[in-house]
Amino acid sequence: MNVKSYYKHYHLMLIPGIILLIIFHIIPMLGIAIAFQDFRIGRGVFGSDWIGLDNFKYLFQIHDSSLILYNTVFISLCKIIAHLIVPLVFAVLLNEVRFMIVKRWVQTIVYLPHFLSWVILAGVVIEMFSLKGIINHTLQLFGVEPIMFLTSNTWFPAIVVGTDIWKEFGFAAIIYLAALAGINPSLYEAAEIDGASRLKQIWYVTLPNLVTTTVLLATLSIGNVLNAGFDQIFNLYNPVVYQSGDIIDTYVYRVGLVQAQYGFATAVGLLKSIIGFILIIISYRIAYKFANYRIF
Amino acid sequence: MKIGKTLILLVITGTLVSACTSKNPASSTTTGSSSPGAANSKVDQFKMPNPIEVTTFKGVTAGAKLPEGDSAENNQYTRYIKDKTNISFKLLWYASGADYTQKLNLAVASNDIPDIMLVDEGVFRTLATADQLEDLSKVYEKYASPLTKELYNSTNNKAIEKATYKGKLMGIPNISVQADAMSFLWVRKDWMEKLNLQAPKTVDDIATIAKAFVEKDPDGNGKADTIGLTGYEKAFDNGGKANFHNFKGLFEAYNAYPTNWVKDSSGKVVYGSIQPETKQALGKLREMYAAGLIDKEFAILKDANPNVVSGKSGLFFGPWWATGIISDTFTNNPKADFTPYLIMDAKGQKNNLMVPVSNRFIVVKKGMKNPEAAMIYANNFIAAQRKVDPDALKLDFSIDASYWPIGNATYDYADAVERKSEMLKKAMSGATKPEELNPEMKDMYDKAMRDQANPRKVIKDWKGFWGYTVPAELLKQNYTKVYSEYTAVTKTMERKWANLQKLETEAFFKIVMGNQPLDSFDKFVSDWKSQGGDDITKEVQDELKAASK
Repeated sequence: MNVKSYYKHYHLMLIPGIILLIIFHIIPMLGIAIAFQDFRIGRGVFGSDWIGLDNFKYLFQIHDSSLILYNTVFISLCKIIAHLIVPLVFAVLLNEVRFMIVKRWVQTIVYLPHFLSWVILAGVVIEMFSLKGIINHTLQLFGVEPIMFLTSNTWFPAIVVGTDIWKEFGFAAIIYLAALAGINPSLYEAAEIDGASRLKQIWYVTLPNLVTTTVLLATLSIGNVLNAGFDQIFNLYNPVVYQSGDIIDTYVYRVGLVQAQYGFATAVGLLKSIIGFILIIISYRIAYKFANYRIF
Repeated sequence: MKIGKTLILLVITGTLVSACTSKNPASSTTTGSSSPGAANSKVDQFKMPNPIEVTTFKGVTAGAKLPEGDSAENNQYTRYIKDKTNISFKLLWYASGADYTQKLNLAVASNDIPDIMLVDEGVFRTLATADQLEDLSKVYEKYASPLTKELYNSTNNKAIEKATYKGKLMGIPNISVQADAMSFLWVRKDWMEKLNLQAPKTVDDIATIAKAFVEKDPDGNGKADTIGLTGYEKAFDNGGKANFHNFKGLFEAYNAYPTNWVKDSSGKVVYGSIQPETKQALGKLREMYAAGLIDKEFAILKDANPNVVSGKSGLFFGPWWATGIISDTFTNNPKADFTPYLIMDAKGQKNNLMVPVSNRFIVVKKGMKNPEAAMIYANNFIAAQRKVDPDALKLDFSIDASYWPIGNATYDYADAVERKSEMLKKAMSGATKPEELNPEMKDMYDKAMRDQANPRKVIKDWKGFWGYTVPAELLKQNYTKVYSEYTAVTKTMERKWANLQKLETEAFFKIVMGNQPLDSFDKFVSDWKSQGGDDITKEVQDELKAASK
């Protein structure tokens, strides 16, 4: 009885959030219906013909569907792996910096690009990697012939992954820095007394303490495996690199919005969501098992 | 993560919901004209009786400049229209280029369209089929001004037919000037003279000039920093209208019309991109690219104008009205000078893929209270554009025309450029007296005379008439007119066109840039056919046959 009334005001405080969730997330989901329709904008959801799973079947009939799927998974796996390692290394290195001022400055500067949109950054990236750009200019100093990075199917995925890391690693490092701050200083003191060098301290104290966080982030990012980053690739790619850069989202954009095949686009989106959902559940289980992480 | 995951799905479902809810309130009104009892002859075709506010959105030319303090919603054009018509346009949003198309498509999909807007043919058909537009037949009868009607007559009524859907006039069509189709090769004359080059006639001549421009340091700065022919990421899109920096003029010299449905030699309608002529043209482009005669980076370029304006390139394809970009080049380098040329095919004949009579339509949302506002706006816009209204001469026409309240489209005589060029020539030679000219021509004549006295002293003057001299003269020669026979969308196209387009652009870029051998074109053709192209071709041919019966 007492406990119940104690909880009541918490439930009241939840209401605005839940209302927003219902209006903006639950109700719009009814639109999923058009994934099973031959959707015509003029006729709307209620007037369009039902075609069952045709939209889904068509997805697998597309000549390039395996290539597009491969590109998507390849790019996003590379991104996931790099996103685990680079911020971790960076955070550990930054943690060793002695001067507070340097530390703060570095941290601020590296996470700045996170706040810029790809529309802007793509312009910067294209300029940097162009024939007269800074990268080719530097290469020329070492006697390397200029390379057309953005129209090369070998380089394009690397550039996509690389620039994405450059944009995000500073921000991602925050989680690791937080975990680092949570390590009990007495562990370091004990290590020092035992005569451990800085490197040994990192190896035997810092890294073991970061394992839980790393495993957790790794498993949670598995749900993202079908998201290779639409806004980045859309702003960077061109027809020459369709072969290595066309992902599910860019393809759906061209079919769905440019050709106005809303039913098909919804079907693909829905399929992606379902796969993502299943992967998240699996990874959540794994996270619970190995990192003892639970939300519910 | 949650948000990024299904961005497209959410956007679409979100807009859908609003589509369902916003449809109901507006649907009942079908009042037509709002002034009951007003006799046909008495209505004011140029002004609303009372001030009204009308919503709209529009596409604006990227980077177009406005005077200090003016905005896309409030500038000399919008003030002029408000003053003349009593209509004030509330601009819901504006955007440029592909962003505009994307936003517009979303707005259409969610039935979130403004009272009046200007759309292209695809959107017009979609809206008309979906019954989202107001019938303008009566409004046209009653409110179209004599000049407006005269312009439509110059198209043999073809424009009105194009805007008619199931017997009802669903939009106010624009009238494209046919001269806009011609793709000229613009060449830096000062460079040609310096390097002692012949005027180009054939594609091989383009290669010769490009080679000289790339290798012989035409700008004389001692650095190998000049590039040959310009191109950009959409260089293979060949509509009827001549674009800047695409290869329309070069394809036409091979009798190739990629991305268009044209009649082949036997009179059958076929898809231009898969014809052997296209392969030939691509072969030539490939050869030129390999020799470094085409901008190496054209595939990733969104806009090639800076290459020309900065004096890096002196060779580009563009329309007769390229005076804007040329005058920008002058401003940077007073010695720069461009001349247009037409590139002939192997038989010495110029081929030209023509523009459709109308490709933009002013449309009114179904249920709008004052549909006549659209016609009144059109009358005034036309009067101002044609400069028959003396007040319009006070406007500064160097301000980009996309800043007109609903954006820009051409409303003119179909053969306007040749017509005006003749009038100007006669006036300048003294055959007609300047006083007899209409305000538009008088204005052009004055500019020409001022420029003759002080060549290129005032760039605005030069820009205002020069297009009607040298380039317009070239238009008066004989050329083969080729028409795009089919511009709608068939059933199979809806599904498969995006995939076929991907095949096509990928193949074209890779062939020209040397990533694939020229003969991979044949593989592209067979892939294109087997992945739905054959079905689509049949559908197109059947539809055309049915329509001609």
